[in-house]
Amino acid sequence: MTAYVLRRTGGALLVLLLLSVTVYALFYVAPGDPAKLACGPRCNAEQIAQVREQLRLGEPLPLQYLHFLQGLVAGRDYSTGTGVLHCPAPCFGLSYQNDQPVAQLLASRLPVTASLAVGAMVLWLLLGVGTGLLAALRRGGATERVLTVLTLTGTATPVFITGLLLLMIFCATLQWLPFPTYVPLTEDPEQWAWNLLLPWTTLALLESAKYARLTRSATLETLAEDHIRTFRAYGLRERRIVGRHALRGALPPVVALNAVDLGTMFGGAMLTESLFGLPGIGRLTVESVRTVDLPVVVGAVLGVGAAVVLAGAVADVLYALADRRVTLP
Amino acid sequence: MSDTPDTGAWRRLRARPSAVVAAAVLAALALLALGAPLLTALEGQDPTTYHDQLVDSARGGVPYGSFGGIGADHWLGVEPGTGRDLFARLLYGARVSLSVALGATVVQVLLGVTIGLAAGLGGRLLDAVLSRFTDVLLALPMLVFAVALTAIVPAGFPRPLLLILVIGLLSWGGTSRIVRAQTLSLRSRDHVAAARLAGRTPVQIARRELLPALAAPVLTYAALLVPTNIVVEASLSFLGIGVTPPTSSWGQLLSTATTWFRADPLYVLLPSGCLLVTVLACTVLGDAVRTALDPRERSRLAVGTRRAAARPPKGATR
Amino acid sequence: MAEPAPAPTRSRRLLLRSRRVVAAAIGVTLAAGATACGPEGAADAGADAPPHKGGTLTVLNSEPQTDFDPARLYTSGGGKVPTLVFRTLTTRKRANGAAGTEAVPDLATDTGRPSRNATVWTYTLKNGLKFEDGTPITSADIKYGIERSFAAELSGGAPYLRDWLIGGEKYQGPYKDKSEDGLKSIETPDDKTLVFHLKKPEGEFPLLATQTQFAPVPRAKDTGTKYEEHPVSSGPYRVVKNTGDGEHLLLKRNPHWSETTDKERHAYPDTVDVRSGLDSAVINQRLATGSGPDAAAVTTDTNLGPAELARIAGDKELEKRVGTGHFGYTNYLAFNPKVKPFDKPEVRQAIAYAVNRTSVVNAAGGSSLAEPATTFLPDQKSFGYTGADPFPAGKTGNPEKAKELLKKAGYPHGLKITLTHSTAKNFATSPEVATAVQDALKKSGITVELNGLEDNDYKDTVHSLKDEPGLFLGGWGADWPSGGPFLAPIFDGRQIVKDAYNFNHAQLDDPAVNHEIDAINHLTDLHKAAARWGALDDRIGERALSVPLFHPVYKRLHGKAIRNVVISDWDGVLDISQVAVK
Repeated sequence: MTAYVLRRTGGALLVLLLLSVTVYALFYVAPGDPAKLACGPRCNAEQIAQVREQLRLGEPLPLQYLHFLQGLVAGRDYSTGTGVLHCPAPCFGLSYQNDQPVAQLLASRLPVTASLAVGAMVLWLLLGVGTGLLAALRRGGATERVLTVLTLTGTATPVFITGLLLLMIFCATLQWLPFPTYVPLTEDPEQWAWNLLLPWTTLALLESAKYARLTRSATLETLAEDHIRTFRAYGLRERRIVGRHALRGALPPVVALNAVDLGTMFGGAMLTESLFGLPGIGRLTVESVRTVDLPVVVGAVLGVGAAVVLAGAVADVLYALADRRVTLP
Repeated sequence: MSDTPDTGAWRRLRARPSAVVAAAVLAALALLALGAPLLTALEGQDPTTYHDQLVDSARGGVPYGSFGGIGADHWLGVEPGTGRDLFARLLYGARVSLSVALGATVVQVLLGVTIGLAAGLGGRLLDAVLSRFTDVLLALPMLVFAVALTAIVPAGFPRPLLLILVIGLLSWGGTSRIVRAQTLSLRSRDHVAAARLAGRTPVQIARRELLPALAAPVLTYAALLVPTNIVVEASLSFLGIGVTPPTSSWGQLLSTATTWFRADPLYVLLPSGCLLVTVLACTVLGDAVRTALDPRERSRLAVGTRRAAARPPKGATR
Repeated sequence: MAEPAPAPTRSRRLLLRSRRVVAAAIGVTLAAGATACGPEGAADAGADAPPHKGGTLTVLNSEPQTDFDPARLYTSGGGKVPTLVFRTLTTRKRANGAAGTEAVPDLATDTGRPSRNATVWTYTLKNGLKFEDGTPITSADIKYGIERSFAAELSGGAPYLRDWLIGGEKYQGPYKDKSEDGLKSIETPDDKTLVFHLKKPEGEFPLLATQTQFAPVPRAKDTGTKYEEHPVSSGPYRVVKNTGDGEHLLLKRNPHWSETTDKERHAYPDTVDVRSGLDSAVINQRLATGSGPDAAAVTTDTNLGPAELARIAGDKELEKRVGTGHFGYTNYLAFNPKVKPFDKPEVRQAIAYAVNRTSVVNAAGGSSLAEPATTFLPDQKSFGYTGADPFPAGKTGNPEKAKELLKKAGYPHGLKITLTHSTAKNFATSPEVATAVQDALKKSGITVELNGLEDNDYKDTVHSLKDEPGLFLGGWGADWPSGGPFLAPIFDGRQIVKDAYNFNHAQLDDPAVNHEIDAINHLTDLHKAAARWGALDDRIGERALSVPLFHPVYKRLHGKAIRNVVISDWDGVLDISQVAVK
């Protein structure tokens, strides 16, 4: 296990390094000049040059990247005009647009995105795996058909339509729920949940079909295997067979996909965050890409990278636990 | 049975009415898309001409008449704001959407299965390298790539092909992860171990022992990639690398239609209905292909149905 | 400015999975919400009821109030939310319609006293002016506020101070330039007096003095780039909370502000709660529903979208709550005559005749959200609007005339051109408008190929002398309601910019035009100036350097409990300093 953790950590560091290099390289070719954007539309050449210098964009790209790495290790100092702002290690730099330390920006957004991602995951697993199991049990029946069409409709409907419909029904017409605003979990857990219920549902409706279909097909696959036949021959109850044994067969694909979805969800569900006005990482990333705010984008992408790697590792451990024949890679 | 597996699968597939219906639906969609010029000529319209007189400018450009301006001239009504013929835009849109979505799905599946299998079957090092590469790809928002692409791709590059490549090459992570996970759990099974002991190469093992078992999750997942790809296509046009206006696509129609779902419901229902039908057909067909590929299909059919549950004699389960 | 800070249609964000809905919405709930809940005392509410002090005003916006620093804000007339916190030497008159296009005194006793041909402007501060901490506001604080807007750290404001003040082009701001006198062209002979020395006559200086750069900043409280988190208030409200980089701004009464020194702001509510980062569709839905605090809510940046208008029409209760306003803005086709075939006036004229303004207006959201434009200047008196139509295309275009001109230009069999536009969904330079132009020109034998660029790419390309395409969709908004900031940046040959954003798209450098611009800037009688700007616009318009397409119209919903709605033609949005919630 220790060796596994070490290997995985090493791999993770490599992933993060590669990610940061890639983002730097991609921004090098992307259109838009951060100095011009930070300066404003009516700046003259001289002002733009000053801003470029102030943002430390005058250096060649490899040097900029080197300084970024330096900042990660040793921290950096920035001028506020009237004083000095120290950005302690690991320093991801300051936002070009609003001069705030990137780490601070991300830290303020992380709880929102984490709340959204984890809550939505619980819902889509309940809805998806539940539906999938039910569909496997009642195969060929009307229940299965209805459930299948329902979840597929969720997948085929863009977030915007689902979200707006939910808002219209529950917040405007029935007024059962508040128009979502983010309330921190630490402030008021009840309000936190009420406000996030619609965003969670919106995401769950979009994602659950994949889980439902995967669970259903993997469950059926397992049910046809020899050992299950044996159980059945012994007269084990069908529900027990499905619950105890067949579900285990559905684990690998469901866990693998869930690791991917949860990890990338930490990059934010941009549409859902935008629609429901949740100040999460997704919206920050979109806005930062739009304004060519490289330090923020790098920070956000590294955050997602860490989440993806971690979720992948958890998935690996889960396979090993679920199936003793699988060893940790 | 003495049939070769392939013809057996084909026969089993044809024997399933749902599969035949699903295939027919997809074929019909493809025909409609291919026959778009002919059909719109029959209607007497084209997808790009504006009809200002058909929309109520003071009310945000909502079409005059009920059901979005449906009539003898415009079979499915007109688009709000422009008055362009919806039937024509929907048919022409099918060309882009179906080819991009299916093309990208094929690329995603091919890449995902290859990489996932290699990671699952290869040594620890290969697995680590491929898995970490997948991580990188998963963590980078497509947005960042797409914005950079806008600067590199020459203006003349055929857009549908570009879209297939962008979507296909950037988002196979989910497929590869599923395949890898399944492979990890399968490779220690008896029949795989036996094959390995018999001296089969990893490629042979992958083809003979693993692919049949992988077909279920992969086909299931791939069917659901289709609608996602159609929507992604629309969002890429927002970045300037999607289809060029005035060309229509289902995704483009859907994304402009979202706000209209109360003022002009048909405008939303038409593209989303097309999308849903495509997804349903793909799912049913995927399911059928999966079962047909599997020789144990019949026993599986019986599993879990009420018939099967009723089969054990009453006294057997307390 | 081309991409104005007080954006008339908010800039769009890039999105990964599918595009976000435009200034838009669900008509859906509009109707549903209206019937769902009406407060019992609905009868005495409404815009006409007498206003009272007290209560909380909620502002639901899409764009966060980032850079809440008077040096960095780019506003027209002092901005919407900023005007609650920052008082300036002069300010816009808070009155409905055209009456609201004037500058009136704010911190100063008058709008400025010009001398020496309007190159020297003198201001005297009112008595009893105080910051939120009770310290008196002096002329030095205003001078310091202007000086710090020159610092590279605090860039973002309009270019006029730099261009107009003597030595402005060289001055680096107080952080770099530590000299005793600072910017020498601003004199403060005593605590109450400011004297500005300009390079050339500028009769519109009082209109410039409405911008937030003219707000006082106490030197001792300046924290540089961090000042935006808690700027020191001179206005009726002070910042109590500013989180998420301006996403949530909580303003409470400033006890040291006094109504006796401020005739323009009413400040009825006790608290103003500004929530931003919301989706436009959701903002409109919340305003329509009006449950809880949303009943006392307004928006300062979100229009009703076309689909919402389609639903609202016919709903009397909601129609009553829609404020209509006009901000001086023009969307147009811009030519670069250096690129063939646009060097031929006949080609440009042919396109001017071929344009179908009905479909273009529909693409911009329909006749409720846009008015067809035939002049470059906005259709308001203060700009000097003449109503000229040099190439009458009628409602839907004149293909015959266009074909005739093309023939004359040597293209009897039609013409193939490229139109560059942005892919941002903004109803202005967006694909919808480009496609409408494309379809109209087809009827005149002009084949238009569309070149849609990602928004940053678009801005960089069309504003670069080097890469400027021959034909693109452009837009220009008013820094203040006058012809000066509208015509000069676009048509003054001395404002052709080499290594930064260039807005003189036609690269016109005509001595006669330049001379007339200078001559009008001499005038301190702005009514006379307006007439001259209008005449100049007509003369430039005849050269077909651009094809005016439409002027946007603002349609904005406000909550049920909102009273005292004032919408001036200066910015076209209900004035947040006038609104009462009780």
